[in-house]
Amino acid sequence: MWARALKEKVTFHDGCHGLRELGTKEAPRELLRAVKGLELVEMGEAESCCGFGGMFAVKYPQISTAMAEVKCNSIVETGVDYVVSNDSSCLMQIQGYLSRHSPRVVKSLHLAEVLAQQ
Amino acid sequence: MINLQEPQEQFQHDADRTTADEPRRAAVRKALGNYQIARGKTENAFASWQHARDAAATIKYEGVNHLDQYLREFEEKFTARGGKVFWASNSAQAREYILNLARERGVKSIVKSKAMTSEEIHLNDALEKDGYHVIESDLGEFIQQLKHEPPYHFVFPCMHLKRDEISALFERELGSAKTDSPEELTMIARRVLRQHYINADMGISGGNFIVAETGMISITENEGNARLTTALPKIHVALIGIEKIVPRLADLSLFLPMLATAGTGQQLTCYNSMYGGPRLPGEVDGPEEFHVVLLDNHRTRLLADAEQRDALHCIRCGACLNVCPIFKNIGGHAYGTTYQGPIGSVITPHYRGLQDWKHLSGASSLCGACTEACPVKIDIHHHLLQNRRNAVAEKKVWWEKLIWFGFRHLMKRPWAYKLAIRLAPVGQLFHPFVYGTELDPVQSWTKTRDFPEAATQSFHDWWRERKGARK
Amino acid sequence: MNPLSPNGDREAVLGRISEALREEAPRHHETPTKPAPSGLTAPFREWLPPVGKTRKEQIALFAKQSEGLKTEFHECASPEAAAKYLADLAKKGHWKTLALHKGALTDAVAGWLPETLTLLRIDDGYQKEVLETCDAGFTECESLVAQTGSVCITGRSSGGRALSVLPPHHVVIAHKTQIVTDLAAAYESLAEKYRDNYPSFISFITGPSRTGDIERILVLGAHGPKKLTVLLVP
Repeated sequence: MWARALKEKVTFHDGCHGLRELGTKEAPRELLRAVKGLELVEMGEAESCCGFGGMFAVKYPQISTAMAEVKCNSIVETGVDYVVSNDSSCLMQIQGYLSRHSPRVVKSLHLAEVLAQQ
Repeated sequence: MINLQEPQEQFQHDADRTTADEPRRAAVRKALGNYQIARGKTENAFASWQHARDAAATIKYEGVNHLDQYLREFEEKFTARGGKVFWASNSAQAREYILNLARERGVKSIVKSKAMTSEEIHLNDALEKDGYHVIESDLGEFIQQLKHEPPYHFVFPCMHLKRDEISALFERELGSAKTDSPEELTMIARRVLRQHYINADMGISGGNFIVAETGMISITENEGNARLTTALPKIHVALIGIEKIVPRLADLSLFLPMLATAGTGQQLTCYNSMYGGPRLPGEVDGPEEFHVVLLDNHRTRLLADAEQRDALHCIRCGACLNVCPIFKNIGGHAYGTTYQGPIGSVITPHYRGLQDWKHLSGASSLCGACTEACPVKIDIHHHLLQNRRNAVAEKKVWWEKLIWFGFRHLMKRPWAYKLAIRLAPVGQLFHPFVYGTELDPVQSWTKTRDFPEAATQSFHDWWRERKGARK
Repeated sequence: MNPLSPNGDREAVLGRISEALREEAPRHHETPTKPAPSGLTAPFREWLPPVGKTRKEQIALFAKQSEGLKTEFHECASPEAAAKYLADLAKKGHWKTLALHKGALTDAVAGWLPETLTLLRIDDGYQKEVLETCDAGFTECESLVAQTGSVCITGRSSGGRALSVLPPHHVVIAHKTQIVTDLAAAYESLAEKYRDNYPSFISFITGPSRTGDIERILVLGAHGPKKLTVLLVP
């Protein structure tokens, strides 16, 4: 876990429930920007679904994984070391794909984990 | 391509194949990325796109919920001006009517503009079997017809093909020279089709809207092929689903820009034409006969489901496909349906049987991008959930029942939940022995992704400790 | 299958519909609270892209939209000037035949056209093959829609259905007074003019024919005209 006041680049993944059911887009970003030493880099596919979707992820693993691939390529392209989200299911999917396929280490963190260290 | 018996097995098989085709996925992603940009700009030009959506949904709600009244009004106005209406309960009746008409009038050559309803009832097969020469005139449909393939997307029929594939197809089927210019390819098709419009004695079209007030149908297009199809042959047949109703002519002044915006990102498509009869006295041209075939084909089954009735508000803009991550990754053919994408997954179980097509509602992460993109505010992803619920209520799946039984009991008992959290790291010690193999209980996850390591300390414990330390 | 009556399964379909509609459907949308202004059929027009109030602004918007659509838009000082413009187009495009219909504006212009250009009048019928080989179709219109840059034509105002779509170049001539704000206004003027006796064909033409079917790349002149010219006279 990284300590506070470190210079870190992160990107934020919009979980579908937060984004489209609750309409939360800016709030988590505002919180992240308030964290000292943290730079927020937007990814191209921020609003795209990561492909988790509950049982969908195991009933249709090929589709779910293809979606994760698109999402994770977009994360890796930003050059960040951490991807943050406020949806733990998405993080399980993203971390699961990244740790198997990513050419370099990118870790996933829940927004609460980031904030709790402040 | 292997043809399996069950639609669900076929779907799994095709999705395996198409998700492995990264170049195709990338091409589709790129095309739809451009759509997103164009659409964003056009949407922003609206004084209020969101209010316009509400207005459109209100009008469609009114039309669909008074469907009998408005269809009667359409019929009365349309027939008064010399048009002929045929009501088809199912695809066989619609096909039979059009075939009979062709026989009686001694038709030889038929030109068609884009009509998804004709794909739905397999009209071309029936006409060709009877010896008629049928040609699709929409460029994308023309290409798909030459390829003997159904449309990939109900608005962009050949969006999955690259120019070199189309050039090779034209070389083989039309004897044209090789080219990598989309413009030259378009001109080849233009030259081929021109003669067909002139020679055809029957033109078959679909229709985007049925206008009750004035007894007209409205056709939206970009190429002009529908205009030619409906101007030159002596008989015009329009095959339209009954749900395409709008009450008033002026309603189109909202729907035409919205259809274009959501469909292609244009402010208005190139040609939006309203047809209110055959050639009338004092007019210089137009068909001698104009037949509208109103197609039910199980639409009334969906209409009877009040909860999901608004799925009939669909104006077939294709926006839900264009934003759908499932569509982008599996492509249009994997669905195995006439109507692809999210809206297709909603309506196909109603049209073709819930148990056979419920898997399409399962094959969604329910991300909701479709609902957000829908210009008439159909709650698409919740309809997918309703289909899942209805399918299970009709026919239970024992292993799913068992899983949810266990899950429910675990979550209802805090002590059991806590115990499970404590045991997870222990249990996971054994996971490496079977990881990713057939014996792995989470194999369909671990085949392509890593399974998360259970934390030795839960978030709850950590939070409690942290609070204690801060005091 | 039992032989169906000439209008098909009408009673069965209508019966299923009224049976289906007995239960009320939930609404997933907000019904606009603002009542429609009396007599106006399009209360939603305020949500659509804004259009200027004066005719000058509307003409400017039509010109701007035309540019985006690749429509050639040209304001002419008189029918004579329009004829000169048209003659230039004919010369540049090596036209041999121009097809046209009878009308106050088309006739006013036709009188000034050079004799080297053959005119094909289609008012009393035409042969499809001949019309297809014409270099351009010259028509009037019902209105020009500022909001979308569209030309509204009908079977009665614009020489039928084919004249404006079969030849490779469509030239439209209109009076300045024919500019209307939006589609709703175009429909209103049609309703006023035709009442219950609409032409069998109404079309909004928005730019030259186009397609994006191959790799979503824009190509003009898919099946209809490759070029669209709109001439505006006072």
